[in-house]
Amino acid sequence: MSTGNGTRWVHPTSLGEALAELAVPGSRPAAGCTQLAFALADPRRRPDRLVALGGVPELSAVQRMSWADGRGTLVLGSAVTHARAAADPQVREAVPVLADVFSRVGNVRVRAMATVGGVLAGAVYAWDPPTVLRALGARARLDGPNGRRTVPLDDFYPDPGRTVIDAGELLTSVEIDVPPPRTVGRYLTLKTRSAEDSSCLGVAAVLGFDPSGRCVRARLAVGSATPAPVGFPELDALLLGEGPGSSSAKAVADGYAERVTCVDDLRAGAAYRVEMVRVLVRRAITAAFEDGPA
Amino acid sequence: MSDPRAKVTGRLPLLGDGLDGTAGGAADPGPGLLHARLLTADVAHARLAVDTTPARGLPGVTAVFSGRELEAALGGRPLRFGPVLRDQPPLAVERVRYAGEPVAVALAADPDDADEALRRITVTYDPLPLVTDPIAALTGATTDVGTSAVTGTSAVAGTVLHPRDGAPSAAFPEIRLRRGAGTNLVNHFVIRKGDAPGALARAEHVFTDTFTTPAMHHAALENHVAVAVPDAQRIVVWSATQTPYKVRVQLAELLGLPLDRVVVRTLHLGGAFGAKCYAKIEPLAACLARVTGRPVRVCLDRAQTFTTITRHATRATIETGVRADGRITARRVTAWFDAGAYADISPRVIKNGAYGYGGPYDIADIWVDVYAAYTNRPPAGAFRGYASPQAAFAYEGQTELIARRLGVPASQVRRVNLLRDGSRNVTGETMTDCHYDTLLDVAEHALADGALAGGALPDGAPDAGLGGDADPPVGQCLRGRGVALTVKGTNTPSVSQAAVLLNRDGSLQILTSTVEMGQGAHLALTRLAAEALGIEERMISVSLPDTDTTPYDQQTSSSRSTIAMGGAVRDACANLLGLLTRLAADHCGVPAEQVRAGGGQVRAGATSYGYGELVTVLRAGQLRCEGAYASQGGLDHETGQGIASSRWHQASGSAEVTVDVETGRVRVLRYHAAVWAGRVVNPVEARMQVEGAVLLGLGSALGEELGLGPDGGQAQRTLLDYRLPALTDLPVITVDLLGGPDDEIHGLGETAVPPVAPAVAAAVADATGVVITDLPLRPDRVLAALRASRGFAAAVPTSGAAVPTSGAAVFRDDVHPLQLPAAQRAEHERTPR
Repeated sequence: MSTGNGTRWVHPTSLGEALAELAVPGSRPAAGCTQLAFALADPRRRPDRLVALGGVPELSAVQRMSWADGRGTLVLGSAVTHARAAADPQVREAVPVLADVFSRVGNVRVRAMATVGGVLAGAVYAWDPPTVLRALGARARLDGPNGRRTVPLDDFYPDPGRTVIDAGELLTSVEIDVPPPRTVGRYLTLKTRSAEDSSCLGVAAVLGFDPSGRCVRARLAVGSATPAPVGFPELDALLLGEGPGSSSAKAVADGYAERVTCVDDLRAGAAYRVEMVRVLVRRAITAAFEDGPA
Repeated sequence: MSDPRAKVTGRLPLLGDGLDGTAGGAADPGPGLLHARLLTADVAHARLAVDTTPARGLPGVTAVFSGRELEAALGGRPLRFGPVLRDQPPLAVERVRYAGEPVAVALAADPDDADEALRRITVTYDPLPLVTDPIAALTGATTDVGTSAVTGTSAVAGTVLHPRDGAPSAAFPEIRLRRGAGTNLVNHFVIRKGDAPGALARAEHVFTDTFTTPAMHHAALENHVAVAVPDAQRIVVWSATQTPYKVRVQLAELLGLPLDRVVVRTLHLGGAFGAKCYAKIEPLAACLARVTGRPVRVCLDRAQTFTTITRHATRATIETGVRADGRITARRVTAWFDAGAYADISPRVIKNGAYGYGGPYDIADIWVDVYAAYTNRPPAGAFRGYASPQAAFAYEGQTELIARRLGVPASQVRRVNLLRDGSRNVTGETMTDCHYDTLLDVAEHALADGALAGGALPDGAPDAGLGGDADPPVGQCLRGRGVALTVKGTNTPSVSQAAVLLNRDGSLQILTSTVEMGQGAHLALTRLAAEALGIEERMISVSLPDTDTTPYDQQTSSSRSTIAMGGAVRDACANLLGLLTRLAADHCGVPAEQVRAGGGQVRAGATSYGYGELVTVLRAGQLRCEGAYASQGGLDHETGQGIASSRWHQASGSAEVTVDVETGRVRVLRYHAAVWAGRVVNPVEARMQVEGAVLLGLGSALGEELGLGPDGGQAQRTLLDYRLPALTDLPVITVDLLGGPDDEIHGLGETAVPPVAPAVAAAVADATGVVITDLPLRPDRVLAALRASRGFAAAVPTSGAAVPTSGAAVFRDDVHPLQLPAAQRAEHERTPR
């Protein structure tokens, strides 16, 4: 009665089959189902037709591509679970802050099921990984009837609660360029009700340093408190050239607090969140600088 | 005996489990079961017009009813229930009084068909003025009553939720109320001990403080569920209830049946915490079964359970007169309890609240007035602790404030005021069996000796990085410790009956109506019987409650079962030993004085029988003995003086916290709970009860609160909206069960709840110097309090931004006058004239 009466499941075994099934009107992709479970339990929201992605090998791969110039790109299949992303040696070695955020989502039961694709395509503002992926400059790879396209996370959420994924398209993987050596990533969250609650605020800071400990790249992102993850590159740029004891951290934090629009929900009010943006952005920058020269 | 693992693996049958209502065969409703699905109101206060016509005749749909149609189908008289005042309809009639109130029902063999029918029903709401504050409910209503009696205007009728008074219920026939017809006053409970106004006028210092607590959700894992099965003469109702016998009374008076025609049965409950006291959805299930002549199952979802019953939001103003050394000389308390839209058990809850505000302190002159008021919120009722947690937060908060203002340690204020044997408590009872000195010693020792404070945390203990929160830089995180001391009563007067059945194989059945809801009551009863008879626990089984077969019990609540039902079981066992003695004497032809029964044996002269052997030899088939327990007491209606409780449940708590001064986030690092347990029947489960009580208290201290959406709508629908403490939130919890094998048994189910929130608040005050007077200690509220505190402003690096508002708080007194500038503060303190 409560688990999908009237919902038809199909089980493709290749990406091509999956895309063909998704082209059938009324179809939706299904992977970890940690969010879909709510819709499945509610007769008013039960999907007509679900395309299970678990049997599509292309979507479950974690790959590290190396380019001729020495750069690398990490490609996480959209059906890779949070638990696997958190534990994968390549992810942990190349982008520790990404493994960190996936290891902190929800609880062990959620992480065992929830997927990389689901947490991006779900477009739920409170979720953490999109904020870190934005700070890392990640790109979403979309496959569909008209071929493949790649969309930077910065452009992935055109409106609150919406993604750029078109009907019939599938988020197949996420690409993250492996940060150069001497890059430090920090993700700080504020939880107001429980450690297992969704974050009231998440701040990601990815800072690159030169051998002398001076900041040469900086990308921040603020999420969970905002309708979608946001960043302000012109504020981030204030950190460039700074060394330990950065004097701009407060200015950047104040700038973020002035420019963000925060949401009001049961976790906290908007005004409190804005104040917390000021606190956590400063703390994230400070923490990154402290580890920077090391 | 229920194996705790069975709950986790799903092998324990619960009424809510089986989709066909059979719960694994344990509760078989027979053929033709109908599922009832409820349409609930999405506005909080409105006149109501329900059109069910479009939902009728759908495939698979047996029947559809609005409230009015249900009354018509049962003969046209009003259907109202309630344990004290019969003011609540199973389905709203004419008027909806809270968002979430059921307004229509659809019945079908397939619940999906019933859901489809609900979608076709049209409901028209004509909004009425919203009443969401108990004080406004009373002042607004009383102001208008004068006019209403004359004019009967609809505007006045709109602000009075129940213009027509509910009839009294036979469930609590002895209760006397103090209320005004045509107002929103549910009940006003009064305590008058000595001359509080005179003593306050003479006091060296008088401090007046106001404390608030929010509404809370019980959050039992099992939602409300009932299955009603009619036959020609009787009705059988399977219900997940804590009070089978009270529900029977309520159903009998609703349906106009003698008590013997109503049968209430329960299985194990998936938690309750007070939410399942008294009829909730059973009246609807029973009415629908009567109308359709078929078994009907009502099972709520979480969104519906959220609005079925709640913990009272409270506001209490405490005026306390003290000497310079902290000795309390007088107290006057005025408190308002938000009863929500229906009275439920509010009239009794405020009695416990009223005597609770005295705390464990010896106060010669104390007056208390507690008002329960109707508002357009979901009904409030029994909740683990029964008003004592709300009272404890207030009186212990004021203990902290008084100590700070007088410049003496809070410990001293407690010491000079403790109730000791021979003291007279708030209801004038001369106290015995007082252990507050010991409890306070334990609480303070737990902090002082380093067992809690400082040092390294044990392996696996939560550290500052818990849950991935931002680690506050050193210097932005303050640490503090606090203590609270509390008292809680139990249901008095109280009656429990039990029977024991001895079989010829020596096995023993205990017939009891005590509900096993995870608290371990059945195991405690087993242990007590095993002990009394000297047989092994594995030879004993405990029945599930069934009003046809298990003897009367008042209810499973109030930390009373081990004492009261335990007393009845022990009495039944003693009677069984007496019976075995007499029978053996007759059989062997020896004087009864020469027969000894006990330790599993009956020895008559030279002959000795095992219990079962004797039953066999006597060809008795089975031996049955009854037992009973009754406590006496009661309070005078005019003065609130008398015996409020047959036992006083005494506890202390010690908390160590950190406070992130930039975010306001409070983290509880360690918590020590001490309770006066007296003789502990089952140490393992007793400890688990105390730990569970601490978890519940931590939720209330740090984050749990039921808010209202815009226009009084439902704000929380799932447990993602309402966060309970998770395992990863927990501090290191340690437990002291004080008492010895020769002491009396004391109840433990709730005892450890009341100290938690005040101990955590005291620890926050210790860390920051700011006493916060409103629960929960949400980060935004704590931050606002810190920023508003002048003494603290320098320590909080801000850029002068506006102080965040505290969201959906009912009341706004986040900061105590102590934190106000001296000039304003003076207005709050009255010095002797």
